[in-house]
Amino acid sequence: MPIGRRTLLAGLPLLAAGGLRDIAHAAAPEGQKLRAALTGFSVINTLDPGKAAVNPEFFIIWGIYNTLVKFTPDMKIVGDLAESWTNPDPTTWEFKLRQGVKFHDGSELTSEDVVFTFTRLADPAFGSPVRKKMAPVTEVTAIDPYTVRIKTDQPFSPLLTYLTNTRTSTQIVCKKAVQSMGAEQYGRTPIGSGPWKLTDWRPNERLTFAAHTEYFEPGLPRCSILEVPLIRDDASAINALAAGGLEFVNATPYADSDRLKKMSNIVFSSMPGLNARFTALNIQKPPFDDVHFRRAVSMSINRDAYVQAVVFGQAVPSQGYIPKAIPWAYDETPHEYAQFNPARAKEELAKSKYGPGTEAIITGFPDAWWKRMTEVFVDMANKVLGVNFKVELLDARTAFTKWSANDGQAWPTGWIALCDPDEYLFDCFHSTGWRNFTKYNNPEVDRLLEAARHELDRETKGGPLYKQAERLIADDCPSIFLMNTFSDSAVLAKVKGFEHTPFDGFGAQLAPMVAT
Amino acid sequence: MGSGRNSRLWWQHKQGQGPAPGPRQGQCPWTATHKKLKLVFYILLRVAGSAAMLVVGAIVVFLLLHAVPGDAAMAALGDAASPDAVASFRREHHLNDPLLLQFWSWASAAAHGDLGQSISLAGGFSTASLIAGSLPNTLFVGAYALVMALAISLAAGSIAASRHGRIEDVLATSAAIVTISMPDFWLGYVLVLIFSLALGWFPAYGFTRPGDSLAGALHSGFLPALAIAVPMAGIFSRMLRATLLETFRRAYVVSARAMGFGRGFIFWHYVFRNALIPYVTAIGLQARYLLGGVVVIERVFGVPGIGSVMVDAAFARDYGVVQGCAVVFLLIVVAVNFCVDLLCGFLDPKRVA
Repeated sequence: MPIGRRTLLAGLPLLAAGGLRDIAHAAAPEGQKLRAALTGFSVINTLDPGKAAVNPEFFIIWGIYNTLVKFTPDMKIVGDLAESWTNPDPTTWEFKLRQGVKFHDGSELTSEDVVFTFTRLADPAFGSPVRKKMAPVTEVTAIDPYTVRIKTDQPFSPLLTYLTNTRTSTQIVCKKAVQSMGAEQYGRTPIGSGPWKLTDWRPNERLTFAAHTEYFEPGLPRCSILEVPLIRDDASAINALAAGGLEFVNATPYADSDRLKKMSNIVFSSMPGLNARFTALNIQKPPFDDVHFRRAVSMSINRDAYVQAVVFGQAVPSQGYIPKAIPWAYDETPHEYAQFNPARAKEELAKSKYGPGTEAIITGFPDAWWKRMTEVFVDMANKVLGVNFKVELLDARTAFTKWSANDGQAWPTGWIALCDPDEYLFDCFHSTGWRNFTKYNNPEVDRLLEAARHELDRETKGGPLYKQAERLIADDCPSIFLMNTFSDSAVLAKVKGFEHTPFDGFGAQLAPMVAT
Repeated sequence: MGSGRNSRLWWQHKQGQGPAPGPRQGQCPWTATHKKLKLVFYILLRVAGSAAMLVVGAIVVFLLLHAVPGDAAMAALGDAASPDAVASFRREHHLNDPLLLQFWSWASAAAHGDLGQSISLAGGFSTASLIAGSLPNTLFVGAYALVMALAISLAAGSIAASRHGRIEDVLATSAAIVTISMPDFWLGYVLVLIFSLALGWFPAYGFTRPGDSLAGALHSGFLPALAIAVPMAGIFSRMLRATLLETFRRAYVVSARAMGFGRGFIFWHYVFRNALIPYVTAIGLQARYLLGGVVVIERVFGVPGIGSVMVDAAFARDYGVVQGCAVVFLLIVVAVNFCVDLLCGFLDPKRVA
């Protein structure tokens, strides 16, 4: 068949397109930029994991470093820098490291860096915020360049969680870089082994990264430049996303979730997050020193309506502390005193030392939905029980300071970014727990939580212990459990590779993301 | 601030609000020297006043900051901080020292041009670098907005005054009232909704620094500048209209009309320049607002300005950074006041006799 001029001409663009596509394909990792916004924050003081303390610092750190193990989106623990691990005995953990992992400066990550990371965290002179949390770790040694042994004083089941790429501070730092730069400089020009290499940091404005070309996971990261603007006003971030000025927004305001669901160029993603929202009570002072009064208030809260009123339905009404995202420790069976029941609430009120008209100051925060969190709580209790609770709003930091000093009566508040049931229950309700500000003390709860901490078979044996402890706590009502809010993210529809996780792993989520 | 206004009067006085602005005869050299001395004295007085204002301002900001509860340790170390970590942070950054000592060590370093380092907003970055990174953006957007506001208000104010009581006047005056009473963040979102999301002409968020690309800065700064300019234009045009109308009724304008000069000639030569003085003063007052009052707009459009740095630093209780920003604000306000005074003196037609 003769090829005419027309056919040739028609074929030319195709040829050109084919050729160009090949070039474009090869060049994609070179030119592509990913713009992922951190909203609601602008404070970043250090990018040294050992020194990091506040959420936005960790959001960034997760993209710069790796940890020994990591969470999958359904909260299973798999290897990251560690290829495998074993327990020769209940207090010993041996990790086999992946070989050939490169830091951003080209040097290889070995067991020496791992040992250095943990030794530094344990050094009182270094002053890491997680030193106390890692206290059960007594010894970290390098067996050979790719084997690390961690010893604990007692069997310590939360250890693996504390080695994941979450708010742990156990991200592996580069020994050589830390020693040559000094800790303070390292916090500003970090060297990690993660997918993103920091290239520019405009404080209070944005951070820019280049792809770590020697990253150990093949084909990642898929973009060659990452820009992270720090956007204080989350509504503005939504506008920027809608206009195509961003590819990803890590958290969206609850009030905007319906609007986002309707936008065709945006994929809105939502799942129960890792958090607990509750009203903490001062059980040492009237009126919350009376268990019947506490139960009455707990049963006066209609949690389904509460979730609608406070966060527009963006939460799971909760009856306990442990969030739904940790399935093996999450309790589905109803807790008696955490159910809305006005009649029984009044019965409990009648049993208590205090009656209708009892006054209390409920101390909340003035920002966004937090304000409603306090107001709706007070309104529900007042309507059902005829008590006379009053709202007091203090800025979050002042309110927290008062709560942690057990100075006040009740605080609608919450914990976020805790990944282990031990953090939710042991830290908050064990008589020695450091977050147990109101000195709640139930020996049976203590016993169960200690047993759970020592039980290395967590899913089958540890889970039931946590559930049992949580039920006892719910009966005592030292806190009134309210809800487990959703983690909401928004990403442009044309972006591929986004995988939502309940722990909001921002920096760790970005490597596979690319706009198509 | 009162000083600006008073000194403007002083200038007018100096330039002789004498009986009639007639030609001066036989001005003796002694008077000229005397006047020069007076000017030098005046400038010295202004400098001393400004320095005093700086010191008082810095002290007030310092005391206010320390009067609010919360501290930098909490902001930097978060809710998981152990008491000993908080204690060592406070020790390291001298937060336990007596207030007077803290102020003194800050002030003596500042006097040598060292504004210190951020401790809880962007740990380790120098306050000077935070200011240097944000002030030019604020100045750029501020100047951009001012130019827009001047253009809009000069046109609207003059038209409204010269078409007094007619439909153009009613329209311009109503528009001014509407723009003044709009909340600024609302206007910002409306502009984003129309010009970014619906029309796609301007970015919804983010700002290109003038140093990186002037065209980019003009493009990305357009909406924030407009959001700032619109309510300002409302204030300016009302002010201009009022003073123009007042000047129209002045005796010398009436007599100029009686002499048969044309409308345009009277407007330009008799009315406009005189009316500009209160107008320029109003602009000077608004220039202060451009520094710190536009934080909401900066937030909406993502302009990394000094106002945002100062507010974020205040939330993080980063005392040094707030103090540094405050000093820069005060310096600029003093400079603007000074320029306004000079300009008003220059504009006064009686000056050129």
